[in-house]
Amino acid sequence: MRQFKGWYWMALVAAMLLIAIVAIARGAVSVSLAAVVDALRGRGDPTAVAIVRDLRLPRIVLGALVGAGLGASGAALQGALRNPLAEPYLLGVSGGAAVGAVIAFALGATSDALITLAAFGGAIAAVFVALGVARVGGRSARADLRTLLIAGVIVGAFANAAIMVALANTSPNNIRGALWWMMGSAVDANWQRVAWLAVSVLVAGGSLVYWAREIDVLSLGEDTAASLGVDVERAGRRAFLLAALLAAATVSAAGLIGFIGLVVPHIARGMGLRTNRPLIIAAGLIGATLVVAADLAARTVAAPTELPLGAITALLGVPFFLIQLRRIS
Amino acid sequence: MIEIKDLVVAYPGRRTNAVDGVSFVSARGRLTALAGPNGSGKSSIVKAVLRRADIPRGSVSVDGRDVRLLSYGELARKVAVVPQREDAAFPVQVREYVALGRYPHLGLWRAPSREDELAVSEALTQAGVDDLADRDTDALSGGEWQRVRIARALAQKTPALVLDEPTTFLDVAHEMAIFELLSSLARSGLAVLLVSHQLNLVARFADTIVLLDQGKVATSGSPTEVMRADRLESIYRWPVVVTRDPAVGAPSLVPLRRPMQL
Repeated sequence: MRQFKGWYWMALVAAMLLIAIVAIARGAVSVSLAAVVDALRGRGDPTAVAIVRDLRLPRIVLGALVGAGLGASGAALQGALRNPLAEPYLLGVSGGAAVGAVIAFALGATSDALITLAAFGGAIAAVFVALGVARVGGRSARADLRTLLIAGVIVGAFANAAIMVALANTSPNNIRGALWWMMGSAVDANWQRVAWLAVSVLVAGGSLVYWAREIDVLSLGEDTAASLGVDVERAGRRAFLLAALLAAATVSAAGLIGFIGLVVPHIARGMGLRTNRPLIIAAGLIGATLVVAADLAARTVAAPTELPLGAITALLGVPFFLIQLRRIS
Repeated sequence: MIEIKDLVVAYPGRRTNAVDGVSFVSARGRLTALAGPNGSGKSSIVKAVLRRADIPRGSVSVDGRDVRLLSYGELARKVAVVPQREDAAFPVQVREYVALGRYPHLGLWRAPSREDELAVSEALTQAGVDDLADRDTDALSGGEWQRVRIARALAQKTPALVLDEPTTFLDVAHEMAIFELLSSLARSGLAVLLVSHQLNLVARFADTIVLLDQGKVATSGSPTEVMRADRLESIYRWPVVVTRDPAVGAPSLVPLRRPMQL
């Protein structure tokens, strides 16, 4: 396997910054690099200042945080669940968030904060339902991690059914809003949302980085992890909850953006990272870069029509995943 | 020292106890072997040592302290266990893998100290896997992987070591190498408790054999005391003879073909 070199970190950060700068400059109205620098400092053409500071910058920061959250969440989950196919949306988080948001839409909510809150509440509710299902379904009081994964999938399936029922009973106008939300988009970015997501990503992501060594041990299997002094049930639940919290925050801020949580950890591993602390950090950086790039594509490829971000990440993610799969086998 | 006293291990939904009143001691400086037919309770005892089994009666204590009163971290600083099955989900570099043995000793920031690095190098040398340090765990042969796992347990620097079937799937040379290693570890002062099916090897290397049958101790003692044809026949329910190993004189078990039914 490839050896991860120190300068890769610089390359990862540089790639993210480069994409961010391009994303600020390009769009329906292109702004020159010099004008971008001026606008960021609040000088120059007021239209350019408004486009850069009020429209594009919050959108790019939001996209980066969503990507970072999903990448880190996926990396931690794959390690803790010992499953290369684990990803944040399998935890029922996505379905739960969608149910929360769709219910809010169906009730005619238009306030941005209200929908974000409803989505977050739905996601967290789904996680706890999954934990409960796993506890009942498991053989003992201990919610074993595999049961937890299955419980998450089941809760997600139930949530999808609930969404369809809710959508069948709602006005066409609300359906469009709900659908757009489910396809994932950074279009409604504002600083309030960015701040809320930044806090969640820093707290939950930082905690995962802190507990990363424990996830290394967990990924050796339950008996071995126990022999190394890890309380397997508690450690597994902790990783699960933190990963779910990260995913819930991203989903409530930008809807469903598929494939990032699944693919990004594999990219980081492909660069030669094996232990979870650097892996989670690198997955965050790569995820941020990819979502900002995908959002740039969503805005510009078919301009002035905007494409759903979640569809772009999946369109890019699927072929990538197939290549990865060939390299593994 | 690991002391098992009147231990009962029960699994929910099973009528009989997996381990039913077992007592024995795995002392420092000695290689103690735990043998017996499949399902006789060997691995359940290992689980009980790890606090991963329900213990309705009896106790497991390490250096005089009941494992149930120790935190997981404290326990991991007293006993290192190499469980029967382990498949790392993702490949790790051997040195990083062995370094995970230092987990119970890490401080608040989980950053390795000079002492941790030293313990890892020592463990790599002790287990004879120095030259594998930069390889990935998925590029190891079966024998190498077992030695690397033992190195990980040695990096824990515990006074007691428990291994559950460490030589399954290994050829003669690799099996012998592991037994030699365990024997020298016991000589160096560790309490080594080995779960093994290899009665003949156990008879040559172990100081004490504890033979289990249906969750109870059928017999225990020195290899010569335990390796008696009549006992082994009734425990394994198969005709056997016990001879002397021509090279070293240790008792040796030869299972017979069943007499033809006419």
